[in-house]
Amino acid sequence: MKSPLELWFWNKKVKISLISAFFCCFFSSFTQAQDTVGTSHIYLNLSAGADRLSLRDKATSPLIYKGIIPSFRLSAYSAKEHRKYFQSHLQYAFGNVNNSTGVEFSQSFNHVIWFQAQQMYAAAVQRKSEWFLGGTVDLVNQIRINPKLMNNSFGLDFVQTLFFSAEYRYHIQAQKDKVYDFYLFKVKNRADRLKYFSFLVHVPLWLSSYRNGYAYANQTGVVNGINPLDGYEFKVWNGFRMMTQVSFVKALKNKNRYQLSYVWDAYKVGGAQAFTVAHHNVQFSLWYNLK
Amino acid sequence: MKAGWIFICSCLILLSWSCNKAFFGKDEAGFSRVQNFEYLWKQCDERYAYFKYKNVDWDKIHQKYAALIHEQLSSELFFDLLRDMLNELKDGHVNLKSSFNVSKYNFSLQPNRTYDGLLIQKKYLPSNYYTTGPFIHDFIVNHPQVAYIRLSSFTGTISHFHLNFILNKYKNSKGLVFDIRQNGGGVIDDVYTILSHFISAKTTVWQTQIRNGAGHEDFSALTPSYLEPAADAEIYLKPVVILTDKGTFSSGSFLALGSKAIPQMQTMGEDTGGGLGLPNGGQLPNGWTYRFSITRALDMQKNNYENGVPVATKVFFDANNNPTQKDAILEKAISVIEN
Repeated sequence: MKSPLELWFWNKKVKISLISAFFCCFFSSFTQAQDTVGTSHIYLNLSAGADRLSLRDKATSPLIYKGIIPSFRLSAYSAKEHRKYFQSHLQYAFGNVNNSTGVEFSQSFNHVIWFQAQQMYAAAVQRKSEWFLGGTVDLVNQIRINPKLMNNSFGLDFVQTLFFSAEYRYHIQAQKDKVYDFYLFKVKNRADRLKYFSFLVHVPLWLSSYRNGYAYANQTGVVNGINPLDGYEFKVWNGFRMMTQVSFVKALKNKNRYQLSYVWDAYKVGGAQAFTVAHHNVQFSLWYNLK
Repeated sequence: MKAGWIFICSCLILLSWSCNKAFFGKDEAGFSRVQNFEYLWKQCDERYAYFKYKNVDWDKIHQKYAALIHEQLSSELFFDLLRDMLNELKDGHVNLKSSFNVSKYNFSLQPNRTYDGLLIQKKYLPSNYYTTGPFIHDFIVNHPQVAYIRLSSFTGTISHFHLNFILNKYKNSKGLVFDIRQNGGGVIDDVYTILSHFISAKTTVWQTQIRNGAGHEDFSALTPSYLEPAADAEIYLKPVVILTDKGTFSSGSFLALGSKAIPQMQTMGEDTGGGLGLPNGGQLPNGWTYRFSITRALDMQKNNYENGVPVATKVFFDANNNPTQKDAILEKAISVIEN
């Protein structure tokens, strides 16, 4: 017999809706650049990295759980150069976070799934720098399994955010080819290769959460039900969230790119029984040029 | 310029780390005796389901124990005090767990021993009795029309296959004795699986509600628990006597409670130990964990049997003082079925 979570998760309607939503946004990245005039690029990005996760759910514990977990991301990026870009990604991180008081040790296994779609428009373009403004929709699901919490061992939280996003890019490619001699090796800075730093900040315009009700546990088990979301409550603006990203992007000879990025994402939802999470995510991405 | 960017990025990273503090606030982990006592007391105050039913004045309990708490208490003594405070709730679903001890309220304490498994195996079952999943069962020796089924725990492994096999084997019997004495509970899904083989139509077996506010009587609306007959399965509609005692707890009590809604079922022996509240789980600032009941289950007449589901027929039996070497409760069940 499948567990209630499995039954819910594999419920056809939910599955089809989630997959459809992802692919609609994902493929819209590929189609968007085609209807504009000028230089356009489409990239498929594969990323891997490490996420330093901290979380505390006051509904079950006042303790902060911390750990470093692996994180993977698949994203699509389409841009009309110096005009606008659209990016969507699906990211998954999983692993254990721990708390130790020195005497007592507790561990929580986490699955974190993000979906993000971002539309940005160039607001100011100069020779070496660009400003982009736009919006980002971010959906994050956090699943926690902490056996020490007995009947509250399973936690499932959904946070939905609409951000106002602003990005500053500073291009550092040379105006003409340069060679830096470090005695043991030489580094070329080629004028025809894109290279930039970017700083991206997201400020929430809308923040909502869908999470456990007052007693945290629900009574689905004692009413012969199989709904793990029984008693869940949808709440709007019951907390705060911030997200920033610092990146370095460099184009390669074959028009592919690589990116090094650091993302800080922190949110707190749920009032008195607040669920607080912070991610420090370092990612290395390969951008495969599709157009 | 590059140095400038490195400087800015470093500042942003450091800023984000420090912003974490703004989101998390003060780290509440700690070993302060007062802090941990107050935290546990408050968690119970805001979520425990049976203060009124058990006539517990939780504020008085706070006064009583707060006077005993001080920072010099050893971990063991502190644990014992918190255990004693929780045991004022007289609830078998209340526990405090640390790496060195687990507190419990002994709900099954009674002067007489009401179940003797060895006696049943020696006197009432053939030596080659059946074991099907977690059940042991067979026809009762010298009573070929009455079957005995013993379930010592709700293991979460009971399947319709097990019950189909058992009920098919006894489909021509006059009745069944279903023995759940000293069954401390387990996975409640097993209760639904079992009861679904004893009903012929959709049946409401009990109703429950959950704490939904800070007031001791803040509860959600009652939610009925329905049961459908097992599909394409053996359905047994002849008399079934369920044997219970004080050691029948939690899922065992739910089985006894559900049987009240099923006409051919009756309970016999002693009232169960109760445990009809669903326990939660949580953690204290020092890392110890706790649980207590946050729901309450009522029968269809809204009776609350948290302290024990009453049996239809009370039968006294003391296995410690049993010169006749007979299980008085089982004997009575056999006679009810045969007559």
